[in-house]
Amino acid sequence: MRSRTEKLLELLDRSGASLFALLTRLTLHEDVAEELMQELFIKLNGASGLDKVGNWEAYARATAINLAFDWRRRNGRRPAPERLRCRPGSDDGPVGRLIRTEELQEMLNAVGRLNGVCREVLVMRYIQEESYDDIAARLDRTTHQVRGLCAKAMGQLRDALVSRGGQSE
Amino acid sequence: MSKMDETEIRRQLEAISQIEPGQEATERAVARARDVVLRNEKAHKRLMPRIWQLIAKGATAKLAAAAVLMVGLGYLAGRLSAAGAPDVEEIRSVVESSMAARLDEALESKIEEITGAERASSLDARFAELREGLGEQLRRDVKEAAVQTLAAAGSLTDRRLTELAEQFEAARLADRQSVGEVLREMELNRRYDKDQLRNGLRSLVAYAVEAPAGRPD
Repeated sequence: MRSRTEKLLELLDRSGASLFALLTRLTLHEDVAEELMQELFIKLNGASGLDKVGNWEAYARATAINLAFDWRRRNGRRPAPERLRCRPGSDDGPVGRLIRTEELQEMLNAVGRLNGVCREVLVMRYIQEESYDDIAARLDRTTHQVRGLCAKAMGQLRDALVSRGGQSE
Repeated sequence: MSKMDETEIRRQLEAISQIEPGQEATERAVARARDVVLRNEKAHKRLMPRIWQLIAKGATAKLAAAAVLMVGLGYLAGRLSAAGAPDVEEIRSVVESSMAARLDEALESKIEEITGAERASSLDARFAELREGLGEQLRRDVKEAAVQTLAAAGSLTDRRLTELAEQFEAARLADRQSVGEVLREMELNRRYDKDQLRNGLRSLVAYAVEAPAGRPD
């Protein structure tokens, strides 16, 4: 039977980069994501009952999402740095980038206000761009259920953005 | 933002999904996470021998080890010094003497118990008698104290009444004296008025007698 350390190192080798990318996308800060990555593995190392968890990767991702949105709640208004890298073709000048970053902050804050499963499904589907089948396998649900959850999450997100917009107006 | 439709939301989520951390940052983050995991493992490994060291250094642990050693040695010595086949007669005599001694002890304790019970019953009787006597004495003392208290209270009341009567008498005498003074003064005033009136009448009569002869109308 392998020790927890070995399992964690294996998880880090297999999914460390994707977990870090997820944290970066949700926080929009590489330095914060780095800190949260450390915190994530400290949590995983000290978690009681982790040996009973079947899918460590799913557990780690859910914990990472919670950590990131907890951080957003605490530091929601922190401005995003300029040097976040996007895929080629997405650069549209400093002003456009500033506006876009502000929009992304608002969007992520709205995602953070969703409830647990909807938030996780939305992140996996639309931010991590995973397929419905993969999400269903990871959450131990059917594809149909995952599609329903995605639609529900999108509706909740729209409502959250509209109510937020109404408040600001 | 209030008129945001699903397409716009998807576009922004897609923009978020396109964010990629730098390769250097990713490597650094993974390395730091690996350090955390390995450091925890090392700390855990270091902690276990330290616990044993603490136990070995502790005075209690040393005492326990010495006790275990002594018990083991004693057991070994007993096993080695044990005699061969036991003598049945000897065992019987030992058992008999031991049983006799235990019976004697049991009888003595029983006798002691019985005599103790008798003593206890006689002590109970004496205690009841003593309690009765003390109760009687207490009743007598209380009665005597009550009589004395009543007598003292009676004499005190008499004295107070006498004093009150004397005060009443003194006040009555003072009133009589003041009334007598007033009456005496009134008598003096009456006499003075009477004299004045008499003198006035005399003067008037004298004037009336002399007037017709000496004064013309």
